[in-house]
Amino acid sequence: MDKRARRPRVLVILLVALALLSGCVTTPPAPALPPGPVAVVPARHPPQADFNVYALGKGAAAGELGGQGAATGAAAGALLPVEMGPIGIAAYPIIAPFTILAGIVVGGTIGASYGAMHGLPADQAAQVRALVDQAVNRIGVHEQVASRVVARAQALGVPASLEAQGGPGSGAEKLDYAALRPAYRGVLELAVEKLGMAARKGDPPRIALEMKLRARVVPLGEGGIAGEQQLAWSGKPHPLGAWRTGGADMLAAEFEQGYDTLAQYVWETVVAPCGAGQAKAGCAPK
Amino acid sequence: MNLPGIAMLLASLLVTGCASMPETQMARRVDPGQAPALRTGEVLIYGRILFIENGASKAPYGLGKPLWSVITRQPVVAPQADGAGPQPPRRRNIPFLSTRKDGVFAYAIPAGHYEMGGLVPFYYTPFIEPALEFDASEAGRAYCLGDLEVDYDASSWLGGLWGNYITHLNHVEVIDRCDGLAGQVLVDATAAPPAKKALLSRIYGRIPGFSGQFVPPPIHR
Repeated sequence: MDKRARRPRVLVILLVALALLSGCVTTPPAPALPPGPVAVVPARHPPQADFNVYALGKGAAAGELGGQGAATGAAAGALLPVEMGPIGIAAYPIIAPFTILAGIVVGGTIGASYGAMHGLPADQAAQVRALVDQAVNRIGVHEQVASRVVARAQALGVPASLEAQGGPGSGAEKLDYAALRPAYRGVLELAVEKLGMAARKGDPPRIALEMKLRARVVPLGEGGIAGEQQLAWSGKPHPLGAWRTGGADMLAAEFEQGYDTLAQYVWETVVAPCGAGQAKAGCAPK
Repeated sequence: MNLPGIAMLLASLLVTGCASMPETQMARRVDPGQAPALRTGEVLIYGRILFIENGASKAPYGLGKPLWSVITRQPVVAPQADGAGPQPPRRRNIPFLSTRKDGVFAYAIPAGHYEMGGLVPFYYTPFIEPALEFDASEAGRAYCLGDLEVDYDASSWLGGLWGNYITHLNHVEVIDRCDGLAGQVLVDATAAPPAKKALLSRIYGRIPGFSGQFVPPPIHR
């Protein structure tokens, strides 16, 4: 190709890179509540039980990780001839079936053995499931977080009220909260979507309480930015034996810590976010 | 690439923010038994970093010693060198901090309000962003940052040759054990600067997590 013809292409590439680097590609704005009275509305549906793969038990963990390992291995096997250079590319149709097969076998075996090694034994997995059932059936998980957000707001003079009855009855329900329009400028809907006990590595294996919360902002008039934010909290992992001896008190203490932390995250990221280290109106004093 | 191309690339880098990159400075490590002599405008920071990997304490550290950095929360004006013109304010970055085998660290750094940057056991990936800050603004003092306990799950393959991956950040906690720690760092109490607590605290609006382009392959997660 002529050198002169190549120059505009270099220029275009540089300009595109410049545009990308200088922020032409932006992420969508974070949800923000409008100034004025806010209704904090907890969801009404039970959270979904959430296990990580190891807490499912050895067999299930082996199956899950074996499948993942085989898929990763197949992808790596498909790329291997290309990485070998011109010879690999030229002979791709001959080499690729073997490398893909090898990838599936090796990846699948590693994944399955890894799952079998680190997955909980069946009796421990059953105990974890019982703990999760106990956790999911707790009443008022959403309200606990919502009431803490309201308490924090009221303590700092931000007008916020708990509207415990108006929340969504399922995870898929998207309410417009038109009935709250006369009294409020915006709605903060809080739903603990997933709740579970995750198995963490260790000898003996350790279990941690985890909660995943969705904070949805619905402006009811002018101002504010509608949107959702996902926030997750993970408690300190404890051996299964400690959970057994700690009983309901330990579970309650972990929940309290989870509620407090999630309410703090909601406050700092959605209700009163401080941008670039500068305190905005409504930000908690540092 | 020809000369105009290189010039354009440099210009684009300058326009897009490389000109406002933080200024890098090095910290001075204070070894056990050494009297911490501070220069003008400096503070002594000390504390302990304890990694709990797969449920077991990683200290005393071997290869996986903590590697971390600090960066000022706001841009600061660097002291002017002789003959140099006024410098624009820039954030001050202090990289390559580590600990002793037992996890204790002690460094002399310029006074300031800092946040903890990427923290990682050496030869691990990705970086842990603990979202912690400390205020050590009063020059001539010793500041205790507390014990930082970081609990994570990790996987290693082929003895670490295929990489050491932090797969899950379980828990980050700062514990005040400053009274016991001072004796381990400030050996000669008469020569030591007056001590003060500046425990690491979570940065408002930030949640601990990971950073860096290397994420564990699916099989490790």
